[in-house]
Amino acid sequence: MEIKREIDFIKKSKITIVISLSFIILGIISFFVKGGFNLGIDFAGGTNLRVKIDSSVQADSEKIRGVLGEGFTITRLGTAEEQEFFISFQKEQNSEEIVKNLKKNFGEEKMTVLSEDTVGPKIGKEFQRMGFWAAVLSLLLLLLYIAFRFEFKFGIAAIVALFHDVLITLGFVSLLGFTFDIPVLAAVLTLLGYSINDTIIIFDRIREESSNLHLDKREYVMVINQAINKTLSRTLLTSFTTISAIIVLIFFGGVDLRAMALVLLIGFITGTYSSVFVASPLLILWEKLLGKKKELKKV
Amino acid sequence: MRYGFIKTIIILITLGLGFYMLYPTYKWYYNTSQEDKDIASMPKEDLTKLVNGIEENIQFVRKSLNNKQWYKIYQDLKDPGTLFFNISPDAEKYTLDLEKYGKKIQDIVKKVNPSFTDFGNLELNYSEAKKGIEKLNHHYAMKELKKTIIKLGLDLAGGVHFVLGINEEQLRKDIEKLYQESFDIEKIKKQIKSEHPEYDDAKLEAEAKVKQAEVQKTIDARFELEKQEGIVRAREKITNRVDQFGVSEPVVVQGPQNTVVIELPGEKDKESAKEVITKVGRLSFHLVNEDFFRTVPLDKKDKFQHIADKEYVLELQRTKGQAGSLPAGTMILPVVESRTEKGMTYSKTVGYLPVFEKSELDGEKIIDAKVEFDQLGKMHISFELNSEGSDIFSTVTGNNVGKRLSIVLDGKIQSAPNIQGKIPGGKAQITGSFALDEAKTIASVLKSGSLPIPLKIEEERVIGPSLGYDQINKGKMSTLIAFIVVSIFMLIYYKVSGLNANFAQILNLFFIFAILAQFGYALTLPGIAGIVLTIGMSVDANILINERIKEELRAGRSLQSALMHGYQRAFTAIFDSNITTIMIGIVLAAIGTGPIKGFGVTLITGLITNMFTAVFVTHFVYDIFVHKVNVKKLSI
Repeated sequence: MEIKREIDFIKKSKITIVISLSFIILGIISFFVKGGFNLGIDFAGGTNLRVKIDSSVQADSEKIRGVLGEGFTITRLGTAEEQEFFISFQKEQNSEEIVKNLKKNFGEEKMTVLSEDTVGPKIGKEFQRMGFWAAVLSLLLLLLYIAFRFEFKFGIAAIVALFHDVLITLGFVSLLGFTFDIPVLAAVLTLLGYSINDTIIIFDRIREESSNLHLDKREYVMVINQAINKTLSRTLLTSFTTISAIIVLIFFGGVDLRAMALVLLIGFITGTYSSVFVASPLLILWEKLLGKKKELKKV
Repeated sequence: MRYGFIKTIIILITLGLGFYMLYPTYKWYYNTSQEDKDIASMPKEDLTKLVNGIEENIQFVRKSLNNKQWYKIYQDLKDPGTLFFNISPDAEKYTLDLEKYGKKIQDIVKKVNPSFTDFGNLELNYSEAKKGIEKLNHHYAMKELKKTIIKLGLDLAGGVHFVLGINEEQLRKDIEKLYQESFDIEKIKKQIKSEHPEYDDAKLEAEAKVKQAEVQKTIDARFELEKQEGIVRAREKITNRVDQFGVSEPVVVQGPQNTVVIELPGEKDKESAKEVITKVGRLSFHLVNEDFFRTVPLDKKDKFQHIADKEYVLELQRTKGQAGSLPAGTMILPVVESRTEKGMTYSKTVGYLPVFEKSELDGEKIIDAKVEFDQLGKMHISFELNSEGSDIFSTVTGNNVGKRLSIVLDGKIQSAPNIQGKIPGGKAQITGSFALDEAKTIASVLKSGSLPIPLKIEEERVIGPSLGYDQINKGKMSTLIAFIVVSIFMLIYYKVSGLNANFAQILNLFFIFAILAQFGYALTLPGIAGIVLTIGMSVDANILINERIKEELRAGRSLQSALMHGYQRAFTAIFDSNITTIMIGIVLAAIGTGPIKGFGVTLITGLITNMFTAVFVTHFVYDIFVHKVNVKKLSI
């Protein structure tokens, strides 16, 4: 992956910013149209029943819905042949009765309850509180780190890129209808940490290349381009290894990790993309605004 | 090269440490029989049985030695040694070896107690005790081993996880019921009228309202207090009850927001678990049948005025109702003593008492109970009864002065204080010399009788064993595949240098598991995800280093100098790139619960050990090849 030809990333950033913005707007629209996230039982409370129906009895989501009636969300897990289902319900209902009802229809020996999770409203609130503080604390730590690590304008650019990543990832969570639960929140927080790394590596290069030089705007763009190009092979290689590990998780880690892994995948791709196409162009935008001010002062 | 020598030592030491930390895990999973595993996870009930068995055997040996002090015996043997036998949860290891110095147990007994004849039973009891002790020591040794192995979280091992909270609505109702009488406005008026007959209606009304408001305040304060204290009592109660499941390592801890978290690994029967946990304990007062107790032969009693002989108790229960045996209407209940050591509450039967089956008073009539100190600093337990209760209590105590009144909770006698006189007014004290813990336990028992804390299940997770098994396999599979994919990529892209990175990667996994084992962290499903993610992210360090080295080589540096500069320059970037992810990991590990904590822990561990393996170790390997093998060209 020797990059011989220098790519003008900054020039391309005009297109990518449009792409980013449209994804963000799409996410926001989806969020409001769907009336918020599809909260999992961790946060909203409720029961998740995971059942497996023996292959000798044919079963699908529709059939289960037919047995149980209204008020249940039924999701198939894995392949159609495996006949594994998630049955979620919010209302106060006795899971014992539901299991009995299902067993009556599919046969006593034919159905096994693999797992059952019930979260009451009090604990749901506690998890919400916990999740909120985890997010706040993570952001605070990262902001502190950025403040400590970067000069002001780099810091601002890094923070904007960070929010960009979170917004896009959360937008996808809403668009794809993922259940927002604790593992998904953990994935979003993890991507924050990862996304900052990439930005740091590129920004360090920019600082290194531009130190002790008095650059005009055109030269500054060139330096930034150079820095991105020089770190590009690392950026791509690391993303490649990390993303392949995540893809392995998606395919081999089982259903329980799939949502978390998918969010990580989206987040890590966005994070890599944003350090090149969002954070760096922002530096130039800053320079533009600041440059103008300087001219005004001269006048 | 001295520098290289020190590095070699450092690497060897860390490797050795890693092996040392992982050895128990290896031993447990690959070199321990199922039988030994079962011994390690012996339920507390079985453990108590074992200990009681040993104590009975020892008791026999002690009697046959004429109840001589142990130190006397080893003076006779003229050889000091570990002849003491002391069963206490604190002991590291138990020993009983009277035959250590070549003398047979019979000979010792003959010498100390010439009139002894029952040598068959002595031999049996002695060898049984020794066998029991061996088993007990084995149990502790295996348990110790199990402390430092990689354990599986509940989501992988299967089991039940409950979070119990207080049913606040019910609790408020219960408390209001306790104060019902004093809250009743008519009764308050009557009371005021009797004290101040001169009050007119308006004044009476006003006074009564003030009094009622005071009671309301008391109720509110009590509600807040019970929310705090009640959950502690509930936790204690549940801790005592979880033994009934026979699961090996039950966890009962206090959670956030006045909750109790219960984990029963391996437990499958959710419904019965729920029932046992939320069951309300029943408290009642029973008079001791002193007339019968007096007929019990002296040698069957102990100095605490309990029946001590278990065989005798069984005999009595068998022959109940027959002449000379236990009369109808009387039952024998165990007297228990609880003590808390190392965070575990041990409940031990210290004797038995015959009590009347009919209860004199039930616990619901108690309003409050607490430990108090008098002016002299002497401790007593005081409790207060409602008006119905105080009438009954006054009669019962008046008619039975000098007899004992036992406090029975769930069929076990918690305490049996002597009635010293008629107690009118509904306020009673239990005096005696007890330890603070003991007094607190009794007060708590009295209180829980009066106000069983209504519990409600706030969170419930049941993971079937087959699901856990399936998930372990998926986790193993993902880790392996991720490792292979990343390794192959590194090998193709960096050739021999990729091999070096892969070697570091293997070491990294080795250290992650070593650290997880040493600190006893349980591996959870998200924890495995953390490891897989680490595999992908940790090669970043090698990529940064290798890219720098390449750059330096392109700039025309010699191999040696390129390596040096490459590592130097890449290090700050590596540090930076790990630190933010580690920060997030710390937040997740600190705030998250259960599975997510596992994700945070593996993420942090993996990234920290990576700094060592991917930087220090790979550099060392390069150095060996450059300086010792004299490699001139690097395949990178």
